[in-house]
Amino acid sequence: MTDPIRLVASGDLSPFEYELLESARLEQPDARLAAVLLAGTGALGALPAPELLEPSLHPSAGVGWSRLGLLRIVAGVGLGGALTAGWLATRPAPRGEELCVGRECAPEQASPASPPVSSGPSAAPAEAASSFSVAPVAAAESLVEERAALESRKPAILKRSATEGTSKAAAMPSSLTEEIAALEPARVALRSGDASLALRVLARYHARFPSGVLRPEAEALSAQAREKASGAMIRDSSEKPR
Amino acid sequence: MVALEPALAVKPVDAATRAHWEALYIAHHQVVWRTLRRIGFSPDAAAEATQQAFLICVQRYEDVRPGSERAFLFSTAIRVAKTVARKHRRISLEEDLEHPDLGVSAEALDRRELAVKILDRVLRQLDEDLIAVFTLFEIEGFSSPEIAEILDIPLGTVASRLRRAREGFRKAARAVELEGRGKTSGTMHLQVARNET
Repeated sequence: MTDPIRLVASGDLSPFEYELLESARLEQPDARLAAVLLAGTGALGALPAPELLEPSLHPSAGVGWSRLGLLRIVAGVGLGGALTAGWLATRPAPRGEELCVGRECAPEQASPASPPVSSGPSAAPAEAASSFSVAPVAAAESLVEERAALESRKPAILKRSATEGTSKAAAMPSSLTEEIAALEPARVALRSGDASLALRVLARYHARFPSGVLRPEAEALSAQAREKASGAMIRDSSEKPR
Repeated sequence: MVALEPALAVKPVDAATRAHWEALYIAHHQVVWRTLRRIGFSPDAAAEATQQAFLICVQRYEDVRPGSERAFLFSTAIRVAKTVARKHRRISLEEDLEHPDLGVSAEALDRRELAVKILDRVLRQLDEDLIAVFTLFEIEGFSSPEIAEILDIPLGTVASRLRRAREGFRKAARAVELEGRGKTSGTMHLQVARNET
C-alpha cells in the first residue's frame, strides 16, 4: 500500500488551507523552555521512580508533572547539568567550521564556552561539559547505523552493546551529529536574517543527507527561509523607485 | 493544579544510553511537541508531556527495538497525551481557542501564530483519533506504516482515518474561511496577504 500524496504537495489546497498546514510545521517550543527540558531529560541519573512515570497509574501525571517537578529533577543533578544542557541546545555545531559560510558563524564559534543560560551560580564542571558534548557523537553514530540496518531490512540486533555500535559506527560516512552540524549554519543564517544563505546551506544539507534523520527539521527551516526570502523580495520591489 | 511530589528515586542509566536518547531528543523533541500541540495541548503542557514521554522512553530503553526508537517515542507521547488529565487540556484549549477573535486581534498577532491558532480551531472539529493521524501524516510527514506502528492500529485504519480527517479538515477550514470573509478577520488577512504575495 502506497501513501497518498500529502495535501501540501497535491496542489489541491486553497492558499488558506496551505498556509494553515505550513504554519504548523514551523511552530517551535520556546527556545529557553526547550533548553530547560533538555536539561531535565539529560539528567538521567536522577529519573523519577518508574511508578511516577507510568501514566496509566497516574492519570493526572501530566498535570502534576509541573515545572516545579522538572526543576527538582534538574536540581537533583546540580545546576551545572542544566547550564551545560542549555548550552548544548544552542551551541554552535561541533564541526560547523567546515560548513559555516560567511560571517554568520564567526560570532557564536568565538565563545563556545559561554552558555546562553547564564543565570544563577555557574556550577558547570568541565567534565559535565565534556560528557554532554562527546557522548552524543557515539550515540548518533549508533543511531544512524541502526537506522541504516532497519532500512536495508537486515535482522535487528537486539540490545547491542554501545561499544560495539560505536566501533562499527566509526567507519560510517554520516551521522546525526554531522546532520546537526550541517543544519546549524542554516539556523544561524536565519537568525541573522540571511535567508538566502540559509537556503544555500539547506540545499547542501539535502544533497548530503537525502534521507537524513533531521529531514523534517530541514524542511521546516527551508520553509522558514523561503518565507523570509519572499518577504525580502517583496520589500525590495516595493522600495524600488518607480 | 494538583502537583505530584515525585520522590527522586535514582535509577542511573549508562552513558551510552543517555547519549543515545539525548541525540533522539535533539532530533525529535520539536516534532513531538508540535504533535502534542495539534492534539490539543497548550505550549507549556506540550513541553511537559514531551519531557515525560522522553523520560518514560529512557526508563524503558531495554524494551525498545533498535531502529524503532522514533516510533516508540511517538507512541509513548501519544499514550501520555491520552492519559494526561483531560480537564487540564480542556482548560488550555479554552484559553487558547474558545474565542480566537480573528477580527480584532489579527493585526496584533504574528501572522504564523494566527494561522496556527486557526489551524487548531479547525482541527478541534475532528475526533482525537483523526487529529493524530492527520497531524503525523500531513504536517509531520510520517508514513502510513510508521503511523500504524505509533498508534498501534492496522494500516487500513490509518488510511480510513486519514481520508476522514482530510474531509473534516477541508470542510472545517472552508467554514472558518467563509466565516472570516464575513468580517474584517484574521482569516481574510491571511487570505489577502497570501494572494498579494
